[in-house]
Amino acid sequence: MSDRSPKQLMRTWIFLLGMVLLGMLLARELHDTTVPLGFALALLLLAVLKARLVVLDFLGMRFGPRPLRNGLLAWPSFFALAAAAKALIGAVSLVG
Amino acid sequence: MQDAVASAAGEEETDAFILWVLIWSELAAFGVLIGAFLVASIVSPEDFAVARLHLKPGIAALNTLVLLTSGWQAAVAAGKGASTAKKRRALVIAALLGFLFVAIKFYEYGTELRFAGEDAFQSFFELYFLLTGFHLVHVAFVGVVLLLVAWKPRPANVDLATTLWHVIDLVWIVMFPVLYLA
Repeated sequence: MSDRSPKQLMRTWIFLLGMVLLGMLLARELHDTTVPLGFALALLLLAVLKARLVVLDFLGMRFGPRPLRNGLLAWPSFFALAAAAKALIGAVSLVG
Repeated sequence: MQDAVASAAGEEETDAFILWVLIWSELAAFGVLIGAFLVASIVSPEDFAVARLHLKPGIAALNTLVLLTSGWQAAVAAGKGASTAKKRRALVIAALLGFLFVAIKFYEYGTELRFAGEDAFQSFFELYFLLTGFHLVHVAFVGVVLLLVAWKPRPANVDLATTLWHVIDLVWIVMFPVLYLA
């Protein structure tokens, strides 16, 4: 259950929409098979930040049990890191 | 009286425990699929990069907006002090936005299906449809659950359904850049 007030929840939602719109603006530049490394990392960072807001504010984990909160925050971070590593491998192989 | 209160508290703890077991099993299942997609994209980088050009990230981003708005309404429904009428309204809006997500996703599938048969893209689209389809079934199913809960919004049921909804939201947030962009 969320411990945030309706106003705080609306603020979180606006932040989330802002991050999605920022991602959409970045994605407009993508027309090629090669995704620039910095671009991929920026999108993955945005995803982690969005996931963090959903877990802390929508899911109400800001003051929730620490193991559960850490686990839920670690899950998106792990896959974002894995995707970042994949993007890095791709960039290195292109240079090589 | 005390026994009844203790018993109700015990039941709620059991419900919460089962809910989190379910949620982590879902996260593990989605994790395996996302991991498989990442590994396959390392194995066949060229095919995956070209296949990805046939996806529609703009539509997927629109769907992200829809799902996040739905998640916001679910959080409002589960918020402290929300009246029954407010809970009901928020749950119905959350569910309807979930169904809108499903409709948009079907439209997107319609634009992508014709590329799925090409040999070079087969592995990409198999994993793409498996992953997004599995997620889509969750959205549709829990959307129906939200509507059922909205009918009689008992606090424990609202908490269970909205928690599951946020986790589905969380999975999409991770899937979106992995499948479409990064």
